[in-house]
Amino acid sequence: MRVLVVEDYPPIRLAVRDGLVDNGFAVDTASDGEEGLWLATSNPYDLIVLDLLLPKLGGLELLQELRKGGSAVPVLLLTARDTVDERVRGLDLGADDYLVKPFAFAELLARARALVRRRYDTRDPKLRIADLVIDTPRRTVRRGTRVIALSAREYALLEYLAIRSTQLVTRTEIWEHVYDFQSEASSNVIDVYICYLRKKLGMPQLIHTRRGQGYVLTSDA
Amino acid sequence: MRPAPRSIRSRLLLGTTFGVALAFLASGVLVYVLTRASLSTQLDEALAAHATVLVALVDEEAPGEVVVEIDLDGATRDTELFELWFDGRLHSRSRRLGQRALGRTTPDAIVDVTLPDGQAGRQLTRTFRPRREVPSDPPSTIEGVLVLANSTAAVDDAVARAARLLLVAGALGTLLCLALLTGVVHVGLAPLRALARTIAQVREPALTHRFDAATAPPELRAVVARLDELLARLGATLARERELTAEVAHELRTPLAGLRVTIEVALARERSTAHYRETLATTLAITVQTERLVTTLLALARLEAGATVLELADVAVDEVVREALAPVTVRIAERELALTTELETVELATDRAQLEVVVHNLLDNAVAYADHGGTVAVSLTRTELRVTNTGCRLTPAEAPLVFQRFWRGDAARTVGSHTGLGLAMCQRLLALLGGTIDVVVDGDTFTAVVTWPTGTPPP
Repeated sequence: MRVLVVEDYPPIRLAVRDGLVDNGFAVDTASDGEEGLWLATSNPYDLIVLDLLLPKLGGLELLQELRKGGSAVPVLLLTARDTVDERVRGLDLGADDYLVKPFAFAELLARARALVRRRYDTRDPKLRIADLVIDTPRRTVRRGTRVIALSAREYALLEYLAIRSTQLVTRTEIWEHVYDFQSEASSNVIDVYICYLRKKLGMPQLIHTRRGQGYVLTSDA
Repeated sequence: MRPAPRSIRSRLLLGTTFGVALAFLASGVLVYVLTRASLSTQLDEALAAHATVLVALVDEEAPGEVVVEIDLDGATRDTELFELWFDGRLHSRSRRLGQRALGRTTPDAIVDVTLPDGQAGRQLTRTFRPRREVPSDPPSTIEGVLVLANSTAAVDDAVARAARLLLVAGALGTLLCLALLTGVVHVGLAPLRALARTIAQVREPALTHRFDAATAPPELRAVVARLDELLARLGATLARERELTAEVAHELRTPLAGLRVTIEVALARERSTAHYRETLATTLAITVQTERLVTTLLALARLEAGATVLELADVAVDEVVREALAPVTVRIAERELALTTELETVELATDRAQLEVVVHNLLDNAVAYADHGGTVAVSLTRTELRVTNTGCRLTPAEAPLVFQRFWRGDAARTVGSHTGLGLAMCQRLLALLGGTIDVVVDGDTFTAVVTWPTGTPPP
């Protein structure tokens, strides 16, 4: 899942980025409102973590611009002012949730996951496809009774395919939403990881190739 | 401890009761004295009139032959007694006197005496010549003396009764007045009690309540008006304090959030030593920043509370500027800034430490906000200090905002960045030192202009 963090205070920006990366998110950061708006409009993010008090372009203005442009990306506001007015204004301008500073990182993470689930019309934190169960808060995968150990990259890929199960997922979408594939020079890295996943998940096959289009994770062939 | 002052109620009651009692007493004494005087005058007049009647009853029918027609038993009234003397010899006296004598007193005068029966009385001794039977006869040669006395017991009784009556009436009157006054004072003080109740009802924390002076009695109008002024001042102070508290809370939240999220993420899993080191360095920097914020806030709070004591001395301002430039030279070099200084020798009677804070803040700001490779200029004259930097992104309209607490313009918050309190602090410090500070934005140059009282004589 790909997240944009817009925050001008470096300790928060960097720590939130590191924490989200540790939890399998692909993270971009921006330190002012203008850069944030530019990134937000040019990439299909699954979530934007947005500070309210930003140089150049305020968080609320950024949000307004974003919604005006028709973007439906979930937005989690970070605010140091916890007045009701401020929160109401943020939510009314199209934010999906807010957190008051200082916050517990675990809470930010939980809210981020909940917002991403909602984005993909899922409510159950456990993704189930046939006998495959993906526990997203714990980041564990089971098939039947068998626990499957996955690398961070494999897990991120599987989670993305699973959250969009039964839908066709293009290689571009995987490229855009899954952790650090963009840093790979090789263009067939996605094929390689699909191959790893198929091997680890075992039979019957759940990941199906739609030749020339992409992949579908489903129990029906 | 000083004794509590007497209540208005007891003052009024004591004062008026004392006054009323005094008035009753004075009028009582007056009535008593007048009554007594009038009664004894009446008695004396009766005594003199009767003496005239008695004297008329003494005739000298033939030379040496005196006829006294006074009835020794009935001629005088119940309590009157008399003695009649001719040529120094007792002729007759009231039978009731028996052998007891009245004795002669000052002739032709009424005096106080003690009667033979021991009672107090008034006595008249009248000298006279008996009447001649034939008016053409030569006047009598006999010298007669009539002594007439009367008891004053009846008068004394009447006066004593009057005195008792007056005393009782006075006491009752005073008590009645006291009772009446208690009620009057209670009713009269009702507006005070009403005001106290209204004051007691002021509970709202914002102190926005105002009393209506127009509805208060004239005596309380001034008090109510002052009370309203006091409430207004307190309310304003309280509002400022609340605003400051909210601002401070907000300013502290960001570094706290930075600390917490940095530490939590670092602790989430095993990290390399280098990573821990970096985390500790970040948290230390945030801590130092927060500490600076708190220190500055405290200094500002002390300034605003008027708790800063100035130590005036002759200060070489150019020296202060040169010393303040030393710590920023490294950053000037790092940011490749062109520094120009034009410092006259200026001596000023001021507080060196506070002036240093001002100069340091201004130079620090100039170096921090100048664009990379830009210019910082410092000029000092007898009347003013100007610190200018290029790279300013403020509009002229935004210039006055720099004196607001925590206003940072469009600058991003960074660790080690400014607290947003520096210029607010400078402004208050200069007000204390009797100077002024102003900022001028002209295109991309920002100039802070500090002036001080020109009356300060140069050495």
